Amino acid sequence: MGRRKFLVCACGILAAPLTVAIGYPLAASLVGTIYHQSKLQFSKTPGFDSAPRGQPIKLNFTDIETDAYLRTETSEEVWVIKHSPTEATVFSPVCPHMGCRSNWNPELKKFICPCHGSIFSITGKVEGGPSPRALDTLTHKIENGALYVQWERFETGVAKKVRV
Amino acid sequence: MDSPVKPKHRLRQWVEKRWPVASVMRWGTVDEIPGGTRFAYVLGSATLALFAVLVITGVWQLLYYVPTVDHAYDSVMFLRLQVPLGWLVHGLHYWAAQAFIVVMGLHMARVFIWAAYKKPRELTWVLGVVLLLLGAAFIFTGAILPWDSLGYWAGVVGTNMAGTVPLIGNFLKLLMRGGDAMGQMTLSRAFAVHVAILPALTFFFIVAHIVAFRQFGSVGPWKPKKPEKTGSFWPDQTFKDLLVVAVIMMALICLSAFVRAPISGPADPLDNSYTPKPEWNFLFLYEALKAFKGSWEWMGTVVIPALLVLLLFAVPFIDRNEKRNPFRRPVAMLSGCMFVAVILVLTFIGHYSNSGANTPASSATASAPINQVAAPAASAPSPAAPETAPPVSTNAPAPAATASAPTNQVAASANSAVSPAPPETPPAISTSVPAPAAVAPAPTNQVAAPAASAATPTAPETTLPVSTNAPAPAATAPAPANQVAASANANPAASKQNVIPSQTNAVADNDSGSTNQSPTYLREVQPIFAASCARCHNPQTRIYNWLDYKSAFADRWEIRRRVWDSWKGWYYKEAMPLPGSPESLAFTDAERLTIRKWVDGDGGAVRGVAPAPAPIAPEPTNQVAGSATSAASPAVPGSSQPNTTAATTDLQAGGGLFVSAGCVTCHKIEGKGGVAGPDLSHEAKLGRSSQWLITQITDPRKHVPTTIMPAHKNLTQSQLKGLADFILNPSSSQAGLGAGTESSAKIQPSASAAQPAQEQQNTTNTSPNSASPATDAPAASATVVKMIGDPKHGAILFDLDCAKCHGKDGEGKVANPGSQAGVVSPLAPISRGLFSDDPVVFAANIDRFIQHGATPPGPAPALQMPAFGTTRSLTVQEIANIEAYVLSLNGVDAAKIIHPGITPLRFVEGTVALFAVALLAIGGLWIRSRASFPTQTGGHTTPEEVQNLKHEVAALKHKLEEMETRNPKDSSGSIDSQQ
Repeated sequence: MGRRKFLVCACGILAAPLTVAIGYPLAASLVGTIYHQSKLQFSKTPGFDSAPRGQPIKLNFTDIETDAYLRTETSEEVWVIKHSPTEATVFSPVCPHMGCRSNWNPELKKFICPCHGSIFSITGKVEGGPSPRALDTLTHKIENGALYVQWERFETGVAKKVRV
Repeated sequence: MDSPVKPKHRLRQWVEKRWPVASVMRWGTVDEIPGGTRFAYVLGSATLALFAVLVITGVWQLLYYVPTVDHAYDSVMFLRLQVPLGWLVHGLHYWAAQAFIVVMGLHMARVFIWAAYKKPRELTWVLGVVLLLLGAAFIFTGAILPWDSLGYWAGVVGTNMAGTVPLIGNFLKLLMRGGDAMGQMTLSRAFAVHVAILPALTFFFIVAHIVAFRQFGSVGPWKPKKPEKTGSFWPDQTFKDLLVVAVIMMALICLSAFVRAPISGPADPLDNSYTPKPEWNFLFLYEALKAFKGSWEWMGTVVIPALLVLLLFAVPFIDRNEKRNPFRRPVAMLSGCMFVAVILVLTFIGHYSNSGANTPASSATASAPINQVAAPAASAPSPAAPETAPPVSTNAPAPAATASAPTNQVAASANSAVSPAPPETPPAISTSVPAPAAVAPAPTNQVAAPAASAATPTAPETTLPVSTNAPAPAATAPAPANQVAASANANPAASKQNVIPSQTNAVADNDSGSTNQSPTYLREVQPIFAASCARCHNPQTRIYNWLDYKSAFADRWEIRRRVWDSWKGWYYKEAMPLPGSPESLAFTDAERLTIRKWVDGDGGAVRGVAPAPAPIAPEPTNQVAGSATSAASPAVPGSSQPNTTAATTDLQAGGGLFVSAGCVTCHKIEGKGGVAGPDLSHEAKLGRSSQWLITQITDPRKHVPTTIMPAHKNLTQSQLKGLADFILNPSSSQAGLGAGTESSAKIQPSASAAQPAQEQQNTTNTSPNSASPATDAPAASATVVKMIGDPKHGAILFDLDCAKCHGKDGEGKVANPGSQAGVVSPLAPISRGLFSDDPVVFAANIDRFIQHGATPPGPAPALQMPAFGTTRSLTVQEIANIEAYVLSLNGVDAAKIIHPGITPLRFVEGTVALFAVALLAIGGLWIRSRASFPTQTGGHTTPEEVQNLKHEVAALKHKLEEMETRNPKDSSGSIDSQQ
């Protein structure tokens, strides 16, 4: 092998790790966070300690949505039925039929959706109307008497509860 | 390129016919280097390689970066912390930019030493200088883009420099900023320039530079000993280039992995504890500018840089002799060395001159958080106004003084409307008149506020304790308003003098011979400085120190232009105080006018100044006496003398001294007073002894060597004692500044603000798993928690705002009587309920307390956590910085890389391994093929190479023939020269 050819080869050999050293971070950061799933967060829901037992009550809380570096706060509401200071059922107010907000009717003791008249029992079961499934429950936890709700949305109009 | 065109490469030929690949490649690679290849020649290629790295990593950052003021910082931090290997992309860009400038400088130095700029290569040099300027522009605009403290202030300083250009300066500054203030338009402009305009220009000039270089090729060694020996650019020099580039890349990767690019916290225009300082690249210029002040500033900002650039451009035209050996051209070499030396020295001076100001200790006594400035000003009108209005309305003679709400502005405007204080009017009212009138010349917020309250006959408890200073004038105003009268007459007169920390007797004495239109003296503007300017203009900052009146005097013309002329639109520089700052909201027209009068009023400024910077407010006696004539208050002259000196050691006298000796100008006590120094309301709770306080007053440097507090040596022992007693027990004294109903209740720092968040500090053991336990907090919290602050800067802020209760470095141990724990909870180590490994969770945990305050459990805790966020006494960015610091105290890095991809260490190891393998392979190859090298010197070609070249020549001839048949004119001899 001649000198010139050797140098050409050497240049090539040297260029290879250089390319990798630059190329790899570029590739990795290009792929970036596309496979990272946003973590669901528990949001503290104030007013739980003073809530009446065995009766649905609407509680508001602030949910923080994270989209990359953007954090947006939205005010959400949920129906909470307090069974005991350490037990509760949390319903999403979003009607599984078309996504309207269902309301608790204290006289009828039913959740009724104002849009198409879906009727749910206090346990969330469908008792009438077009709703394809029961009211959606939300994951929650109670710590030191405070209620933390994990806000989620589910697809509407389908019989299965699927996260959106 | 190095192989001949073979017939089987049909595609290649096809392309070749349409676009001369081979010729371009040959033009780019074939270059005979006289004297052989050298490592010294790699610098140009290295610069180019660095530029390539910058372009690639820059483009990659665009995948994540957004140029908006509210998200730029977050997006950069997202790239750095959350994107796999984003830290490396950002780090490479940052470090390559630093290296770019360094290597460029070395490249220039090399060219200079080799005299490679001489005829006929002048244009190559000139184009190179253009590239250097483009590089500087890149650095400047690039620094702004993250919109962090560093970039923001670099932008402020840079655009202000442009603003000093005569005539068009202001236009230039506005053009660069895209408006009046630094903001979104500035960022957008910096962005467009950095990512579009500059790269395009640079591409163009790089090509031009290389074309010019190739025109005459390398210059070779200055000693033409072996002219026969030549080396070739490809592949001989290229190999050396690649070797060096590999080394540089390795260094960049190591730097990115182990020395992270600075995190200076999000930009905060209101944060005065940040010391603006340019990047190291511009430090020399910055240092040079400081030599010129005032009206000569443009010399530093325009003339010197312009001369430097012109000099660089002119080098090949100045130095025109043929000699190239550096030892044969001593003048050129010496001036070159001088040039470099000056720049280096200035850079080092710039680097070290300010180091003291950044240490937390020294800034502990520096100014208080900005919003406190606004607070006294804002609170002054509201409580006092309704009370003052009724009595004043009956008082016709002095409408200007007090007719409307007694804001500072009104009080100040009384200056022009010196009211003929009628002592014969009813006591309460009469005293209310001289008060504003007398106080008028000293329209600081602080002074104005007490004046307003002094004018309230119905609320004697709000009077100032100064009453003790002037029982004599009080005689003219007997009965319940006694105290009011006293304070109204004597206090403003006394305080307006005494508040000046650096006041001297001479000042007071000088102005006794005042004319009808009493000139404005320094002592009247100094309180304005202390109240409205000292947040930035103090000895801790880079900006001119106006607490030292000597320098304030020296800068007086500039001050006048800034506070008056620019505000009127007559001057091109930035108006002061900065638009939108708390000062600008509290800074009144009257204050501007006072300052203007001080500067050009009847030589007043000159006369009001003593020859040496006096350390301290002197004996009150002289001052009151001296000021009497100008004070326009008939009750005062002479009468106050015996009383001020009769300093009984009781609290009342202490309280009086607190105002008359000037403490109140800088220190707040019981909610009243200045903000330049620490709030002294809680000294007793901090365990201060009387002796400690006396030492602090007489020799503050004993406690904190770098303090800006002047030593007050002129007070007598008994006065000191009284002062210390008052400070230790301000509220028990009837003379307490805020005496009366509110005094005992309002001891806690912003106690009322702490109410909404009555969370007990110890009940915070929310699960560490819940990512955001603070979700019930208002929007500010979410903004802060995601923000990544600068722990170093946070340390400074911590010393200012938190260390008083949480102890130095958060170690606690500060007693908190009445609380369950008995001490303020320490922050290092922090309670386990708040701690978390996850910086976001940790920050969220402590954020609640900083935002909303808290009351520790216990029967009656004396100290409560103030709500810094909800009271807006700290900005969002400042809180982020403090949180980063508290996290760092507990060993948590607020800027922890969350998704590293490969950890930095691993990546470095891998890269080193790769390079090692490559070097081994090259070494092996070299050993194997060494035998066939005819010589080691670069000059001789192997038979193989000769063969290759012959092929090339054949190909070229073939091509030439083709071209000739197509266009006979093209048959120049240029190709022959390639042989």
